[in-house]
Amino acid sequence: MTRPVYSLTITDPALDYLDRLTLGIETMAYGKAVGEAGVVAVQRRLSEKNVDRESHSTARRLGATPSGLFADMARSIGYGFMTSRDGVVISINHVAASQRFHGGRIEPSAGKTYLTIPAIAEAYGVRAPDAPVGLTPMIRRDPATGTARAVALQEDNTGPSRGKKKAQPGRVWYWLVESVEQRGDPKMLPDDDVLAAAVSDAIATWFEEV
Amino acid sequence: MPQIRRPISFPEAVKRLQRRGLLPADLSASQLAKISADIRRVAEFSARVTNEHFLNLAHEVISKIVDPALTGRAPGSYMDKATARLELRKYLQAIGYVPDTGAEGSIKDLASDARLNLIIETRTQMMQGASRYEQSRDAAVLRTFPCEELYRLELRKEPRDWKRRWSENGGKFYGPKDRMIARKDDSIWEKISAFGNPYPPFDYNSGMWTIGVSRREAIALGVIEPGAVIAPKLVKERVDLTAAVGDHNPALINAALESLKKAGIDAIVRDGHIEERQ
Repeated sequence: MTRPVYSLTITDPALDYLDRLTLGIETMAYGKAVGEAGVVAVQRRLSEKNVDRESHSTARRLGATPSGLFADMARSIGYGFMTSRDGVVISINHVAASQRFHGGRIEPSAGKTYLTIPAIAEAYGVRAPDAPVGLTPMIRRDPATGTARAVALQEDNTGPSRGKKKAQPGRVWYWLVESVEQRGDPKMLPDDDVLAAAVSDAIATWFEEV
Repeated sequence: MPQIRRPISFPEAVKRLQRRGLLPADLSASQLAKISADIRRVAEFSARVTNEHFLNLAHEVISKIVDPALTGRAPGSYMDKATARLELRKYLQAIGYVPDTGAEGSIKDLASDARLNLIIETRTQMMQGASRYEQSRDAAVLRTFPCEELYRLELRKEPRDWKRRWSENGGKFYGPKDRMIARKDDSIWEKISAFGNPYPPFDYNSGMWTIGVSRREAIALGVIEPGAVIAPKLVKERVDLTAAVGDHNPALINAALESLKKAGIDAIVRDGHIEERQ
């Protein structure tokens, strides 16, 4: 089952009330101040996550340069208004945001049997068909069932290497798995009280400036 | 039969073809020059079309990264940087792209990891930066978030000296941590940019980005006075060519201008960018 791109919603019933006020206050303007406060709070949290060494465990384990997932998310934030106009939506427009926040099982896309899990630093952040070497499946027989299955993609010496290094046939680039279970990371977003404080501050400032 | 396994020069190709009897051996220098020019014209045309198609494809895949709503959301249907790189490389392979001799694997090689990553990263971030710029410069937002801070979002092995660049362009530092903060309508944002844009990224492969600073904090730090009014700014649509092609190839620029004209956009070239005529 797919999930929508993650969005955080801030609703404020006061907007309806403000709508009715005759003081020239525009709910759009009020909402924009709230939206920007939400964006800044979420961006700050994602920026902290990006420089946190604990956030890049796979890259660190492989000795690879982190892909900058949280930085990508921090650059992808925006706000919009709910169609009912009684709330503001803070969106992280990044394909991995929802999966990272909620976690859950990841399975291969239609027509594919395996997920490719990088086994070495060079494979990190690289699609298997785009690897700079030729790859051959490594087949193993399950001693319990006797059935053979592919367990990894290993380097062979057939590919046109884009790198300068000498081919290392037999070197495992990717492990092949049928699915993975990813843990969610709700800490990638700011705590509710941090968000509430940011929004309150923005609302107070907006009124002071009107 | 011997195969050509590497790019060869035109004179060398002529000699090989002559040896194989595919070209008359008694061509004069001027005749050879004419053939050379004809082939070069075809090659230039091919390069122009290649680049134009490549740019279109790059724009398409990068737009899908920036706006995931443009793709499906099931695994395998969406676009990310690794998939975008694969798509662009597949295209270059399909058209038989060959880099210039000696440029293989370098940043001048359109199919190299370094070049493709640079194209994807820079163009993606420019779209994101422009989008955020537009939203954060709204008059209502400027009341509550009138300033912006330049900060390090991503670590780099060899970071540029941004404090120096900031200072040399008239930027001031605030707070005990010497934070680089300025009004959103300050000209420093364009001055520190290698692309002339008032929004990030401000340079190739830069890990720096901007974040809004609230009015209360900006006043407390002494960046602005109470009651300061920040002017909203409109950003002109600019298409950066350097990120995609690395140089200002006249044939490519003309092809891009012609394409825009067909689409009803009157564009001009200025400072290495294509922008709509105002």
